[in-house]
Amino acid sequence: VAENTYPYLLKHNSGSCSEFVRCSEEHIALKLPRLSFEEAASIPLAAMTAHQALRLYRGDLSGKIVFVPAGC
Amino acid sequence: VIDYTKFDSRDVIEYGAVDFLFDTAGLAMELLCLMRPGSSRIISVSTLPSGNQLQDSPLLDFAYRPIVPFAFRMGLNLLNQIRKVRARRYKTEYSYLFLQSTGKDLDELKQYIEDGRLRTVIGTIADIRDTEAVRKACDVVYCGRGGLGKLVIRVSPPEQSFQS
Repeated sequence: VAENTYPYLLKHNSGSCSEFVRCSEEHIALKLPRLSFEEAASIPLAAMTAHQALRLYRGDLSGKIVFVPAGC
Repeated sequence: VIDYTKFDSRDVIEYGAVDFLFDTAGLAMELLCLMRPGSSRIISVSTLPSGNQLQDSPLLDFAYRPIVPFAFRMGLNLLNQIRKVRARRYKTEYSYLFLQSTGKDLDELKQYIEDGRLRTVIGTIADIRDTEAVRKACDVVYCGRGGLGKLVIRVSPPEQSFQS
């Protein structure tokens, strides 16, 4: 696998609407080969926010009630 | 799933039943009564950050190190502290979260996808060359009528995507 062909380009200051962007290594990860670029693009912002938030619960969340309100 | 356009979630959910509130709509302070006293936690990404969090955030991570004005920073700290105290009155814990972008987390998420625990959900795909389509899709997001799935804007044409 040619490694550099599957980067997850991540929200980082600016440049998400350009074809090429310069970015430091700590902000990227390889894309899963079976995901399309469109699918991969849909992950970072939402999933990472949720991931980092849920991680802050002290203890195990399984079986517990998580509420994500919507609307204003 | 509760239809928030028809019901108030405070009428539907039992008071003190929620263990974890992930606030993406700035509603944390209105929903304090739903939180389980003692062990629950509120993480918000849509209320205001504290001044210190803003100062340390990736938003201000530029080479010239911008400084948040002192008064403004203290104001934000005060507001944040008030929210924390209000949460404490309901025996729950509130904090604001600033997303930190790291490749490490992306790798973890990748593992979740591989394990089938995380699925990608795409709503609309718009090509950036089709300005009208992009405009329409962005309108939907800005108006908060997001619907289901992420909006993806395709920057490079699919046939030109990188070959492996």
